[in-house]
Amino acid sequence: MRCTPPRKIIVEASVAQDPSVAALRANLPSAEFEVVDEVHDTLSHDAGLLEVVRFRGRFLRPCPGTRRYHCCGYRILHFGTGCSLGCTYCILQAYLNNPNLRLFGNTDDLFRDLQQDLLASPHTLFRIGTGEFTDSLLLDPWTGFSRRLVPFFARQTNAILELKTKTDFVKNLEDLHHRGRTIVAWSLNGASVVRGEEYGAATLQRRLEAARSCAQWGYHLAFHFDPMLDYPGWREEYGEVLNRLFDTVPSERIVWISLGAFRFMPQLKATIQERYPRSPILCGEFIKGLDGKMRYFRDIRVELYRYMVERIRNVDPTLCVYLCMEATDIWQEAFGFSPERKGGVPAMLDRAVRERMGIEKP
Amino acid sequence: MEDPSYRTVLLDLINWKDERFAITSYLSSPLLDQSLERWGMLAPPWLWDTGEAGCTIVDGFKRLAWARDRRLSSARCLVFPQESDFQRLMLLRLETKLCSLALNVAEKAQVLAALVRCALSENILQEYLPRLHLPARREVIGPWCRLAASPSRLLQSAALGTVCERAALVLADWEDDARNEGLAILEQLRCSASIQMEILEHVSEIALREGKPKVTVLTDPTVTGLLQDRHSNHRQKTQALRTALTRMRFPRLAAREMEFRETLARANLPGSIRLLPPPAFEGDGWQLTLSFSNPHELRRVLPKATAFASSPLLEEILGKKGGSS
Ligand code: SF4
Repeated sequence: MRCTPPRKIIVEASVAQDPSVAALRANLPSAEFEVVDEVHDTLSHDAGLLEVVRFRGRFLRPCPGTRRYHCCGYRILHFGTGCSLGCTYCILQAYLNNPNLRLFGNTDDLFRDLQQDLLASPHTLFRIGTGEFTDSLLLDPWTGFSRRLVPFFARQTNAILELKTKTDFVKNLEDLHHRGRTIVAWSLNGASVVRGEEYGAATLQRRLEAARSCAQWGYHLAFHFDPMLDYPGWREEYGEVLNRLFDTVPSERIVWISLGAFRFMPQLKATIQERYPRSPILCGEFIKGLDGKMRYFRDIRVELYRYMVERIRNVDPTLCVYLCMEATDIWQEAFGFSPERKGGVPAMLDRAVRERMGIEKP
Repeated sequence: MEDPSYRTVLLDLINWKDERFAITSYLSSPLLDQSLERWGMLAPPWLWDTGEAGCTIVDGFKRLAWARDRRLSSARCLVFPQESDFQRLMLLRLETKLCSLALNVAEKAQVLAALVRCALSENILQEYLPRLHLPARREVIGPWCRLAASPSRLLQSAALGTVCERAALVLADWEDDARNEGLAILEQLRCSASIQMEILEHVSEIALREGKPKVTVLTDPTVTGLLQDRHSNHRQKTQALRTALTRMRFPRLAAREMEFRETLARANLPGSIRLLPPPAFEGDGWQLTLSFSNPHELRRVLPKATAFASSPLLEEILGKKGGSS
């Protein structure tokens, strides 16, 4: 992995006393700390900089699904933005106003708001993830945030946590009291994609070894083949990743596997071309989807998904596999059924939580 | 720097080979030619007295060339003394350029490249990029400098507007052989800016995906064949090239479209019934349109549409291959 600890931390004065800042100071003794009244958005990128700011919006948000494609009904716990792993395809490149790593330092507010939201809907099973606007564990070695988050979820009756990462930063999870309510999830990809497009992330080997460790510590696991890319040899490479995955972790620890073919907002194209002119990822057969995003022509998506579904079913026919943001016709062709027939994607995932994690909907 | 002075200078003293201050427009200037013929030189050119080496032209290349062509022996010029600083002179020269009529693409590129050599980068970002009508972003500068350093053929085409600004910037980054081929095609087709960009983008993406040089795509027999077709005009050639490149860029989508047309042909639908797939077959928004001009025609066409709706061919066309729902 190419991930180095932050060199400089700029902290807004109003969050300077937060436990996350104390953890950063303790874990990064040689970093330069600067306390300012307010951190302003900037256009210039500094890979070694971490900004700790007060977040004034809603910490818990619904996943930004669209009407035309089936969404998994996941909720995002918004705890920071940005990522330094530098995947060529990363949508954050077009999404965020600020290019630097940013953490929300008012974590007491975060836990308070989260608790209120969970209490307000006691009969809802919340599936909550933190890896939407950043990688869930990227800064964990220095913030130790998982050491507060995982035990918090262990105390809840109507929520589970999914930490999504491409790192192998799992050390903090080892001795935590998680009560089986945290899923640790990895994005996986074909070997040449990991090498060529995810060059800052952990190798496949290290991701799978980290997953094995988490399984040994009693965590449930999930895997996301997202974004899947269409390239010569994808079948062999994705098949190989599945083989290695099922050789490394027991399939019964896996709660779900999601599949999502590469899609991107049109404005991301210029950014990728400028930053990674040699990357072939934009050369696929992309068409404009019903949500305005560019996606592979449907037959290609169906082929990618069908192959994976078949391979996974051969190993574990009851394992929940779902498609991220796809329409009924694609589900139908990839799985032979539509999500409606299973009660919808959220119901499928709730069922997986019940069957694999033993957690009933409250 | 000492002040310049107006002097009548013998043209023989001018070092015509020194083109350090040249910013070539690549265009003829009929208005300037007419004015010179009628009134002579109204504004004195600028020279830099470089001592032994004679005088270097700073501004007024066209005017002085006119004087030479007219075999004039001397011209009244504004002469900067020998101790003048090159960079400062260049900035003055660029200032006059920036204040003149709108610069063409080639001039814009050369002005920016010259500014990069002699102005502070902060000034370029804050002052000069906006004056050149370019976004004030650092990453804008590189491509324009590369265009300025391109062979004159590309600059000339850009100046003439034969290739649009964005296409010129793209071509500047291509390898020599691909640039020459690409330029020749765009010059031949004389198509709009958006079509030029579409062509170049398809060529780049096909080459990148297939791991071959761009020139190989441009000299593919399909491409050269249709460009050499003596029976089509440039509009038809443009359309044919776009179709061919789109097929090469989207081979599976093209194959699916072909399959759709072939399967639909088997249905033998009358011309008044049209089945339209959703764009790129995405989603389930299929359309069946019936055209008629009177109730009788509609009554005649409806049973055919109904029969088609219940035929297995429709199922096949819609491509429902995934089993029961
Ligand atoms: S790990 Fe995720 S968030 Fe980080 S760069 Fe890669 S895609 Fe973006």
